[in-house]
Amino acid sequence: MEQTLLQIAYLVASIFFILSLKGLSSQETARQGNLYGIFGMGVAIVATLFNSHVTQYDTLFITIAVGSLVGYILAKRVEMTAMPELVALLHSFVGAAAVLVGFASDASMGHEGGHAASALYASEVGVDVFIGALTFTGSVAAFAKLKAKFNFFGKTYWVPSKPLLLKERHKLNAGMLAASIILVIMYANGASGEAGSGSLVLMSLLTIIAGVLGAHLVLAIGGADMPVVVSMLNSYSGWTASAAGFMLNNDLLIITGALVGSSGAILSYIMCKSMNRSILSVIFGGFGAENDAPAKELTEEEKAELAARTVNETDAETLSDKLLSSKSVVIVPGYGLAQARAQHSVYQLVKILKAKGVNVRFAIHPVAGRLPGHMNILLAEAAVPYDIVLELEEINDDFPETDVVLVIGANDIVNPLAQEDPTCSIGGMEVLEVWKSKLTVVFKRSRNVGYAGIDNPLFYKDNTQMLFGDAGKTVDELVAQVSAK
Amino acid sequence: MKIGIPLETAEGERRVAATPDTVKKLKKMGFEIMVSAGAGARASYRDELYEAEGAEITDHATVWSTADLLLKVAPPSLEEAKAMKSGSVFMGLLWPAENEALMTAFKEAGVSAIAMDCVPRITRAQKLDARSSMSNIDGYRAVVEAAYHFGSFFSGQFTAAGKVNPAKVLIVGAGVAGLAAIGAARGLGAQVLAFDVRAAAREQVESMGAQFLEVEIEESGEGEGGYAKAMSERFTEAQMALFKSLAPDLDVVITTALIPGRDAPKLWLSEAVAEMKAGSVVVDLAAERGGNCDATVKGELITTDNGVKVIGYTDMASRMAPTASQLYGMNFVHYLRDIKSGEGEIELDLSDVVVRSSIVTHANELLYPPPPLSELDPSSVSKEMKPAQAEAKKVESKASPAPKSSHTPVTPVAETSADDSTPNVIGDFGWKQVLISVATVLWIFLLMRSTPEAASESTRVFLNHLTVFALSCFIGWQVIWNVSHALHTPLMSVTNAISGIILVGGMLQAHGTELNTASIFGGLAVLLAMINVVGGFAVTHRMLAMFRK
Repeated sequence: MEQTLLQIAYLVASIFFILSLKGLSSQETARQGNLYGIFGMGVAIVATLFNSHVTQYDTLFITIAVGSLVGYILAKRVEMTAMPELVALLHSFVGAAAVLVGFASDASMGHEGGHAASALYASEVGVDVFIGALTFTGSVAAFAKLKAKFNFFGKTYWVPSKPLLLKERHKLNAGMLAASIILVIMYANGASGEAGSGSLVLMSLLTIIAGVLGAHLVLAIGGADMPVVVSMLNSYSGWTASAAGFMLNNDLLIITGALVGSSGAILSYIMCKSMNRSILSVIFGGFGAENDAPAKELTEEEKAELAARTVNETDAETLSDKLLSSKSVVIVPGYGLAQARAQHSVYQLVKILKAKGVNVRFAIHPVAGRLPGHMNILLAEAAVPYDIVLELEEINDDFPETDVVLVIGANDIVNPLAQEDPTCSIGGMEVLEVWKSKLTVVFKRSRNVGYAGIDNPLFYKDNTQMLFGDAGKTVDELVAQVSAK
Repeated sequence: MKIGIPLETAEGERRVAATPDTVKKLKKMGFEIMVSAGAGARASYRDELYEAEGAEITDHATVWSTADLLLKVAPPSLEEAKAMKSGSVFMGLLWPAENEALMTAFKEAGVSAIAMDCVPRITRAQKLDARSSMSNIDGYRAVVEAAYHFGSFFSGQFTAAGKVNPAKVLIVGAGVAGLAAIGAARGLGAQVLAFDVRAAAREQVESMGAQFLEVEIEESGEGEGGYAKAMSERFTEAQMALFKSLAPDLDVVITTALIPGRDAPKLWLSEAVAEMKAGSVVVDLAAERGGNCDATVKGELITTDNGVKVIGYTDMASRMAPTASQLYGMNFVHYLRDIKSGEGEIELDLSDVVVRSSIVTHANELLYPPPPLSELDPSSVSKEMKPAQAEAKKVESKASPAPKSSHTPVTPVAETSADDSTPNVIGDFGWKQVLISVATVLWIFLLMRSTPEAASESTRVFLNHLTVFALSCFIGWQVIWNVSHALHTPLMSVTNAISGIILVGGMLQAHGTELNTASIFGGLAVLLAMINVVGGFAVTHRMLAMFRK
């Protein structure tokens, strides 16, 4: 009877999770979706508490309370610009939790209250630990790459955004995968051979190897692919939960994990498609980078030509006149906008321009920022109405009729090389064709290359002007200029 | 084939169905042309100009009785229609819904009549859409009339003698006429506000440089029965209140709201007129259909008791007869070019969507009303619709009048395109679905075979789990597939929170009475997962709270 009730509660929770995902796929129902998710989780937790198998309430209450508190504080205090890091960090917790659950199952296997030891069961434990560890270290690596800068005891450490490309890395990965499989088999055989716990040594070894593999996979991925990686890790964290479900005979875990896993995988797939990447190259890391044409030896002539390339600079005053005299303005935000926290100032500028009759819109590239939809979140935070925020396909045809395009802290997503040079690392990716507009103004902190590490010919075009300096300050200056006129 | 251009006999009609320029073009297509003497006079086109392009000038009666194809502006009188020879073709503005007697006359006379006002609004037919080209002129002329009767500048001026504020103009209804009016008023330097019930009009309005007015209504009672109705009543109320509150500040109001086949909706009520300043002007472009304004008198300019001038002219396009005739004449040229079958010959192909929609009588049969666009030729319609939408989008961004007039129902467009976009998505991935399903079934089958004689208990459980797993993956895929880019981050953080479900796994380890290895590990897992759960949901909540329209 009790088991039946529990199953029903789990079913209810699963349905709420499905509704939650469904709700999140459109603006109108998104908030409801979140509530459904919370409700589903509540049902799942309460139902599990009533499981006769669960007895140590004191431990559970303490851990749940502490965990909730920490989570709540994290969520409250995070800056919207730091969302990608937070999401990556949270993924790592799921991975770590799965590893811990795996070890706990190992500890209780064959004991009273634990699962009977069998090869199938042990291999499930192995797989759970493997995916969990992989997710954990992968997420930590992603977190480190996104954060880029750490302060330890007064010293600052930088994590490079460039991919870590070891020689023979694919063989290394394959080797680690093979070793993991062998360890799982050994562990499973050990568990079925004699009644009792599997070998803790084997488990630890498996954890370490999977951990190294996870970190290595993520470190080998280029910075430009980070949004896909975050979404991929999201998917992994789902598969982790699913694996735990197989291990614990728990349908709720299987269903929920599969939901999260497949939705994460689909998000990654959609993003890869919009970047013209193969999803496999992202999963296995570094494939994309391998296609880079080796740096060509430049002839003297080419070098001279490169040196002769100059950019046109402009200043806030000239630009403000241009903006006021134009009919149609498109703003292309990138990660630089997030870094400079300029979204509020930008929207102020937009409001002033709109009040003066200029048609201002935002063009969002699917992979702008370090997280899918990152720019939308920032603009929403600044209360930009979402009907003037357009996606790549919606706005790309409009550039020829646009008077001024403001590129704020974006680089790779407006790089014409993606169309001109199929061999470069972003070759074939869809980009916003800002250079077709009458004037493009690029707000840039310095003359450095973008996250993908390649030069951008856009900057040297005749109808492009550069506005160097911190995007936040520059925009504030623009606001002052525009509102004074 | 001989084309006849008769003199327009309707009162106040200055336009003519062909100009010397369009006559030249028709000539080139091989048609012979005869023009009633003086037909173009009121549009400033003298007979000599027509003759110079090769037209024959004859008397009015001859044109009616001998033409094979008659091009006309206003609907003809019954006598005129009866004078036409059997088997000839008539083309002109007919408004078939209101002119039944005329339809009967055409039917009995054996005339094939084509109503230029019934050309469907599809991309291909844009260049022969007479309603759009006339509405464009209406909108422009409305501003000119308003400026003429308004006692001040439209643009603000700083003169040595003092400052004059710019005129404040409100355009109600942002269809073709409304957008043209916005453009004209902006061109004169006025401050322009515009209102339309269609949200899609917003972008077009703003692209023309006007400020889009919104009715602020908090939506509530979502999902209850009668939602739209209640909403629209409240909406109308709020709209009227908005108009009334604006009225004292406005110098010029131009209303353009029309609903095809119905009386014009009353939008500018007497209360709003009463609030207006003396000397301000209302131009009602819907006067023909009863007017959008309570005070409108059809065809006339009146001054209300509080000194507001209300213009109800119904002949705006006719007031710009030379250009109106040229544009209207070109609509004919394009139409005839589309249905031309040989040198100077036309063929009325009833399977052509444009012909079928606009033809009202043919071979002694009444063909009005035509079947809905979507039924006429589904394949050609759906092909037609996509470019139509793309075109509409382009037009919006080009800031030129879009091919929609306010309140013209474009629903068939929306429906068809929505219908065939969905199967496309599935069509693209159909083979993958099949492949995956087949592989899964095969795999499970093989698994069952490899453990013969009643698969052992644990294998059976495993397979059950596998089934659940596969189905859940499928659901996840289906649910997520159409998510919008903007929601990727919230979606990710919610799935992240949900993946914290692993905490159930941790909780299940907390058995026994005292702490042991398993429960310590389990407890730690619960702690970590709980951070994830609460953090994920809270962050999602924060993000979603920021989204607004």
